[in-house]
Amino acid sequence: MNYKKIMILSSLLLLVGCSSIEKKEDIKLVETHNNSKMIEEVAVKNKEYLKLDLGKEIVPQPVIGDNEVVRKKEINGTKFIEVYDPLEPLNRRIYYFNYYLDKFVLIPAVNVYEFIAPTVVQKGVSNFFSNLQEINTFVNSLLQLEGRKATITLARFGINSTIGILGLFDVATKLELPKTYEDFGLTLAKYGIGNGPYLVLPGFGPSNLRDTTGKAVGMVTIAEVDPYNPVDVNVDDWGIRTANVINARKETKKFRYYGTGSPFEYEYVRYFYTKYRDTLIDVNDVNGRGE
Amino acid sequence: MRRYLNFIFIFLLSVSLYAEYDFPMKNPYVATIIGSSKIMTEGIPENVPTKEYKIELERSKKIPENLWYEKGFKFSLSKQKGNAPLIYILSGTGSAYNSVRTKNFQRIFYKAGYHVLTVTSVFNSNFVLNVSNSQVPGVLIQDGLDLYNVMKDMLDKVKKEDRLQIDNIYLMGYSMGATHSAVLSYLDSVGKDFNFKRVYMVNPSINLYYSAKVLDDMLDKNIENKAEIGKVVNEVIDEVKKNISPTDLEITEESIYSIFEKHELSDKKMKTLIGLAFNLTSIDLNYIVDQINGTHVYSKKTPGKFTSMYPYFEAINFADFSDYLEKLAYPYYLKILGGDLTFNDMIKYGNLRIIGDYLKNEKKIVVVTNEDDFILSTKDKKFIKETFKERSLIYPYGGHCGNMFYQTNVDKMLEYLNKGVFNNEL
Repeated sequence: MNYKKIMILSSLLLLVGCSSIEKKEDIKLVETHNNSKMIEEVAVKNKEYLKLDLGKEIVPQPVIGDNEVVRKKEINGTKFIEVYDPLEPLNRRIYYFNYYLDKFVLIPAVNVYEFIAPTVVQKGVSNFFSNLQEINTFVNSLLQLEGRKATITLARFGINSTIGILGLFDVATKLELPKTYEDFGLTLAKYGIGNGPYLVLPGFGPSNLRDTTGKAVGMVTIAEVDPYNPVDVNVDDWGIRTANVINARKETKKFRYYGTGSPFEYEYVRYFYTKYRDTLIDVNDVNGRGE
Repeated sequence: MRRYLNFIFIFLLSVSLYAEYDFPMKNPYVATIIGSSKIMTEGIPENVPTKEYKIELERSKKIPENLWYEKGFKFSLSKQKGNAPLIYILSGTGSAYNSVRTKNFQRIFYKAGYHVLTVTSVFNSNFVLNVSNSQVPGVLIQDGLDLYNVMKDMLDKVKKEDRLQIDNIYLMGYSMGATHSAVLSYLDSVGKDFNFKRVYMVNPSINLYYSAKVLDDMLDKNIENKAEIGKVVNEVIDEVKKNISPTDLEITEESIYSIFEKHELSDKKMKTLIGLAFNLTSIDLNYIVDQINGTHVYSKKTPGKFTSMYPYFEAINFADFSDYLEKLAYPYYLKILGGDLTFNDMIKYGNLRIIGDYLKNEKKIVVVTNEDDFILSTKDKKFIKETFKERSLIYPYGGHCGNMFYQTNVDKMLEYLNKGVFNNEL
């Protein structure tokens, strides 16, 4: 019954130029294709191509041209990737859930959106939400006693909400008012609150306890401020909220759960998220986030 | 005197040739980092119609549960309307069918009127898990056979599902994909399933081990020890603080490269970075091969679907490609081929010289590379010149794959594939 397997195996052995060497029993080569004839032919041809003298002792030669020998260093260097993640079993399951949420809901929605909405509309929607975020940047700049940043943000928000028609157009940037970014998570960080445990949020993805708190506060803030109430636009409206979710996913579309193909993706993402937030804190400390 | 004149003549000629090739990035590391994923060709569309596919093979049934998302061999097709030539693109080391560089070629060839099939590298987890018969890639002919078979499956599938109408079949590959293109062409000279009309190799590796060692050393030689990798990453992040955006959460070889696009870095740092990017591929390879073969070189346990992978990552500890060969590939092939196989013997199966005679006489294959491509030794470059002769072209600059999307290079490639005309002068 194993005739085919053995034939394939011996052809492969021939193939690598060592017909005289006995095969071992515990080798598992699964034949997935019906091409044994070809393998045989290649094997025959290979006798010419693979003129290798097996069995002879070959003096190992340095493969690299220059003489520098690289000493193998076995010091463990992975520590820096570690992140405090006591809820990992749960987080990994939410990560998994997010993959399916993406697959069946979010990404199809984003695809439809990108298909039907002209680019200029998409840009407008993106600007609209980015403008709403300025409320948070403003409030948090105040909380961090960043007067200049708060003033500029307020001016940006005023200009874009009026001349820029509810933020659909980013006129302020054209007027050289630099866009900055703050959120409540960053404010907490500024006052010494640590990351807390790493969290993966359903739908939102990587976060941590501090930033989750920050995000919640941010959402409530925008809903409370409800800036377009006077013109009968309720930012807490069901339709706008849906648009927000789709727009947010669209902007990070390059990232896909299990998209890197690496078995360590969860670890990499966790590390890079943490690093990314740390970096934002640093950047804001130094010079504000210019865009 | 005459010899002297000859020398001057050749010197002037080479100067004038070099002068005509205006590729802007003269530093091979800059070219490799920035140029290798950036289109420098006019009129290439941002997106081309692409359909994704998955083939489930015998081996796909045995995907371990922690790697469930790898089930099925994935590839993509960009299809022209009606009858058109078909081209296969073989990806570089460890890259997937949808990696930035492979997609760039997909865009270029789709624009040029080809149906395009993109093929994942034999060193990618998806390939190792679903296709690789040995499950220990690194032996050229065997990897080539795996590729050959799965490429037939790919063609059958798209022919059936999409009624793809094709005239001739072409083949191209970059980096290690170029090396595999040569092997594929050789196998096809026996199997005749594709009858490739023309084959185009871009920046191949000649000796896989040499190339991998160079890339390993780029990291190894530029850091004191592995514990320093974290420091390097921090330095890298420091450099780019002003340019980060949430999309940088995507961790791929290309995203690491693209982070650096706007920055001037020292050669040492760039080498470290190139080495680190290659190391990411090697880490995955070490892990996957160790797990699915049950060799337990790095870890005794087998993870479940939601198991923390950090302990496994820690055990791998940035193992590189040399580690892969020494700890996994060599013991495996030693077991299969018997106690006489030396490490150097095995290395030879990863060297394109084993089909040197075929390559010398096969008129349909051409190869382009760069004088400053650091994955080639001087001997390798000599091998290319002697084997391919007028079917080879060595550009003065471009590093490793840095100039493959540059207008001159793309024009030359299309001219050859479309018309069979290969002008091997600059």
